[in-house]
Amino acid sequence: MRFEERKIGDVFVAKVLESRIAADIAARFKSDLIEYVTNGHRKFVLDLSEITFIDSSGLGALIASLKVIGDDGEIALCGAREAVASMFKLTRMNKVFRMFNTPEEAAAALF
Amino acid sequence: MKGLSFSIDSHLGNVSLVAVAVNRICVQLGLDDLSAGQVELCIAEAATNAIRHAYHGEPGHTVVIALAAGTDQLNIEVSDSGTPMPVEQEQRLLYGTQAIEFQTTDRSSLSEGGRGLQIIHDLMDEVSYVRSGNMNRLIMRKQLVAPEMERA
Repeated sequence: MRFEERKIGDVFVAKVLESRIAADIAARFKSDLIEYVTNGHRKFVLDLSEITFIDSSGLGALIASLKVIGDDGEIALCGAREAVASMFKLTRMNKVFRMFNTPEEAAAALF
Repeated sequence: MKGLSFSIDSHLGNVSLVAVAVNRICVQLGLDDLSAGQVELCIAEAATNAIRHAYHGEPGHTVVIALAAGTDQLNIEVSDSGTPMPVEQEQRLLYGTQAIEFQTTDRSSLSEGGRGLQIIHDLMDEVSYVRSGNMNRLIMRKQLVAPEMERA
């Protein structure tokens, strides 16, 4: 999968460069996110602003990554479009992940 | 009543193609973008379920997505000829469940899967499941216009 990676201060930010996170690529999404975690990124920002569609498999990949991080780490999400944000609300995942408008706001919350 | 159907091979890569097509059709029928996206999501969840569970992830089988649009509602049927839906899954589809309730502070309690049928239950106006012969038929209905607002 394609990501754009950068740092805001000391916070690692990965922007997902795919428009659809669905069942066909969810396994790859999950393994890529877990790779970030195993590479030492235990608190990072995931920018969802390019994503126009996410299904339950995509959400499952995010949850799997969060479980690998454990209770002392965090994936802060930002830039969710209306359809994506409504999916998080519907499944109550907006109570599990902190969601921000911009990468800068998300990074500031993790700093 | 007008309609059409899509037939795809049971490969997950095909699901997005038909889901996006249905989204555009919904917009053409008058649904707003958010509602069309919800139908797209339900199609994706239903077809993915058929491939993963009814066909156990095997390619080479057929999933049919049929649409029939009336003046005020869209009927959608996703059918396959695989393994029947287990009773507990059918219950989740028809009635929803409290099983997705969780402690948001306890990450280990979070389930990675099992949300697809609940999503369909929550977003569609009506859902049913029929096993007829060797076919699984997941039937969904979405209102195209809000009748009260239409009259006003």
